[in-house]
Amino acid sequence: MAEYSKQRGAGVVIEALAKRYGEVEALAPTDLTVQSGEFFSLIGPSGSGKSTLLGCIAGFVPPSAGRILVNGADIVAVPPYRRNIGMVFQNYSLFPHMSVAENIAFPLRMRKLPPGEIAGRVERILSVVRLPGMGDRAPSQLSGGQQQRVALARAAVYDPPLLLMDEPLGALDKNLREEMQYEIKQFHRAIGATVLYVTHDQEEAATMSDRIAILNHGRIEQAGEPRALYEQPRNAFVASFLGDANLFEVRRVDGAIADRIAVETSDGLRLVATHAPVTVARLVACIRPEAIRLGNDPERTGETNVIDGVVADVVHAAGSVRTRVSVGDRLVTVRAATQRNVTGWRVGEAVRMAWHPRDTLLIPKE
Amino acid sequence: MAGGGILRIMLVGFAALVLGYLILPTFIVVPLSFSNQNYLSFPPPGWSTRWYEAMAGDLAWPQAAVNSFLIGVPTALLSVVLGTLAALAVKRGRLGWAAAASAVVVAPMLLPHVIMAIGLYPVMLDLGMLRGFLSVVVAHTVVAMPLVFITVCASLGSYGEALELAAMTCGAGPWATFRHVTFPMIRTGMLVGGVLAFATSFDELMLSLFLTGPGTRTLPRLIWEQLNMFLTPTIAAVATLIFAFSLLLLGAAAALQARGRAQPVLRHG
Amino acid sequence: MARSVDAARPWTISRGHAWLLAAPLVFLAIFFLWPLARVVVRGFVDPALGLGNYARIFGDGPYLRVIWNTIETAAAVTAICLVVAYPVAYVMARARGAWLQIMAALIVIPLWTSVVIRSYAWMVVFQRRGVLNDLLLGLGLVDTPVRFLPGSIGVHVGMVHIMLPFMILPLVANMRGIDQTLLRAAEILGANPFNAFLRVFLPLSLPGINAGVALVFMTSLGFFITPALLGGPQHMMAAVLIEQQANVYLNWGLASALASTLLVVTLAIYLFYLRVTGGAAGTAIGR
Repeated sequence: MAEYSKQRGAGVVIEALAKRYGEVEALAPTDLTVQSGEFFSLIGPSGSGKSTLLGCIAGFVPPSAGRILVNGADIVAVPPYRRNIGMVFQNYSLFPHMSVAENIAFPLRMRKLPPGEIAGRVERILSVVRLPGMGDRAPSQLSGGQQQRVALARAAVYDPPLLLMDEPLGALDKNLREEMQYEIKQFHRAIGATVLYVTHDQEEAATMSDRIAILNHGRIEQAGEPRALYEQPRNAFVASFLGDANLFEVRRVDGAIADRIAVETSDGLRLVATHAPVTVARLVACIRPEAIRLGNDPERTGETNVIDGVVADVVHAAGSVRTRVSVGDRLVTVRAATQRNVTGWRVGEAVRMAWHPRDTLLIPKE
Repeated sequence: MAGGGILRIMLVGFAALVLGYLILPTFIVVPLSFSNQNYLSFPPPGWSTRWYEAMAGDLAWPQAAVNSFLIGVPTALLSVVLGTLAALAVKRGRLGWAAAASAVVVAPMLLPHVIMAIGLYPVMLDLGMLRGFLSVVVAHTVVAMPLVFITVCASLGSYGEALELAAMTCGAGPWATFRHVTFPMIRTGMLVGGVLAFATSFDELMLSLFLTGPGTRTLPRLIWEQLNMFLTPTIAAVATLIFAFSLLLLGAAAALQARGRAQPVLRHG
Repeated sequence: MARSVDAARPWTISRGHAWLLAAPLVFLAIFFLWPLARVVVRGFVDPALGLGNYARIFGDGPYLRVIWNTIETAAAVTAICLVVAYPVAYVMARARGAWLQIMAALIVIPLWTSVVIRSYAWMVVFQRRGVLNDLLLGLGLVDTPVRFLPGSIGVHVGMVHIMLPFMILPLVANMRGIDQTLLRAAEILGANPFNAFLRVFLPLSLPGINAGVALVFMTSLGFFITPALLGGPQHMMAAVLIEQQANVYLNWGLASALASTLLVVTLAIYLFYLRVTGGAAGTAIGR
């Protein structure tokens, strides 16, 4: 295993990379820098351009403009088979007519390594992905998770400095997916390559990544560490895509105390925040469900946001309670950790919601 | 359908009748070839193998059979090469004009052969190829290549291009990708297409009528000439042998496809 | 890795694949498109420049009759094939296991039998002292043998026999894709079986019908062997006439003009066929 940790991942710089299909802009001119050895995820709804971006890097999609620098060299004109990039495909794409060992040996054979060394490397990586002795099996004899590990081994056996993964866990069920997330993360630490990971599952991205870029309509809405994206979303799309969010369209009003900022919804709900973007007039207030406390009669202070409502429904999920409170014609979601001996609220009960002004995130509407 | 017991029986009965009609000519030709009479009465009053002996005694038949093979085999090979190339480009090339290209490739199979025959005749004359084997091979390839194209397209459609992209990211260049990944996946389709191309050439009459000479006369052309002169059971004997051979080809194609995972053979005439 | 520093032209998979088409397209250009072009041109220039050949064809004469007869016969054969093939395809689409195998074999075996040989078999059936006349005489339906050959009955029976698999196969392919629960749903919603068939199944099978009809009609227009052997001069079809004009009378200009006419009609149907099969040329196949 030590052998795999020696290499360093490649730094990737993407400059004004764009892809158009006729009138359709699949990828708007995009800039992105991925650090050496980083685990970087691209997330977004389908059609957001994340797979196009990955396809450009892999070499399957010729970009309309821009550059892709891997360790400083532009690879746009280089055919995929000379890019020395590893790739894990959504449906594994294992060669069905080759055994597991032949699949993993394939990139080494293409690189004309001596047969003895190929056998040794295949053996070693099979134990890294915890499939020792499975080399003679056909891919079809393996379970989904095992096939996924073979695909990982095949993509990494030749020590590519950059590994691309295109929704590699999309075909697995939930439990297996969580297990594989952990294994991929372990694998990443072991090989040290830079990983670019495409998924539409924000939770998966948040769990695994050093940094995330959120794409929508062919452009990167925001890139950064998962926590930063969650706590300081740049716009409403990012706020709602990453985690749950209660969003209110608001405008600024006067009458705040000290350095607080007051805003009001069109139907007269008054909220208080600590920060606001200066230049933007139309704002969205984002309050995370777990920031809101529910009570019958919390003390009313000028510093606290307080809204009264009626419990609309209560759902007990694993580890947390989700309560939805109707306020006028809107529903506000509140989430709290399940506590022993504490029963939840009953539907129809009057309830008061409260949260600290710093949990009112004001973000530009667009 | 529900409530239609009688309707159902009628439907199945009708289908049986139609299938009987489809197979009828075979049940006439085969017994006829063993007739002991020299006129075509059916069922034959007695049995003999005299028509097979008559056929064997006439050197024209084996000569025509040899010619048909000398034309059919190269036609199959050429069709496999050209048809596979076209299928690869159309199915994997992401070309904007792929649909137009495949329409041109398939067209010769569906257009009346007589048009191509009177068009190819002067072209072959100009090229000095008329009445040689090459001219018929080329003409037959034009009409047989679409079959290879279609079967190989079906094979390529049975798995995603991701497999080839995976090979490329592994470092396999275009040729290595074809040799190690694409070819093993479409081998069966290519073989079946080749058998179909051979069968097409083996049965083709119109182009042979215009492009073959006395030295390159094919089986269908010889049968045709004989039919226009006299109706003896010798032709039934020849037909029976050809029929047996066709069944062999069909069996081979079906067996190939049972082994591979390509499209069922009944999709492709 | 990157070999060039000049403005990078992106690598694309299309570039290599476009070259693969070079050989087949050059081959088809020389041996398919070029001959077709020569046929069309020759129709206007041989024996003299002008529309002479077309005047002869479309002037009220025997040639126009042959063209009409060709279209009529092709239409009739197509209609008969559709009516006969539809119930068979319906049964086959619901067959499973061994029955399906047997039905498929009975349809595919004739497909693999030489067209010349099959026409020969029909000659044996329809000739003066043939199977059919023996049967009719034996049953006492006629007193003297009926003269079927040459004539249109033989042509129709022979052509339908050859074209039937090309109607059945696209229909089966289409019908097997129709969700049977839709029919049940229609019946639950109150449609009687006949209405369920008429309103649900039939419209859904329309793509199969379109593909089969286009394929059979297009192929029927170019038939040569069957009408030549069974039809005689009374039932002449275009391909027979063209072959005769070129090979027997060496009247290549007229033959070319006739062929061009046939080409235009066939191409129009081919374009329709491409549209109904969604551009995927050859969901079912002619010979």
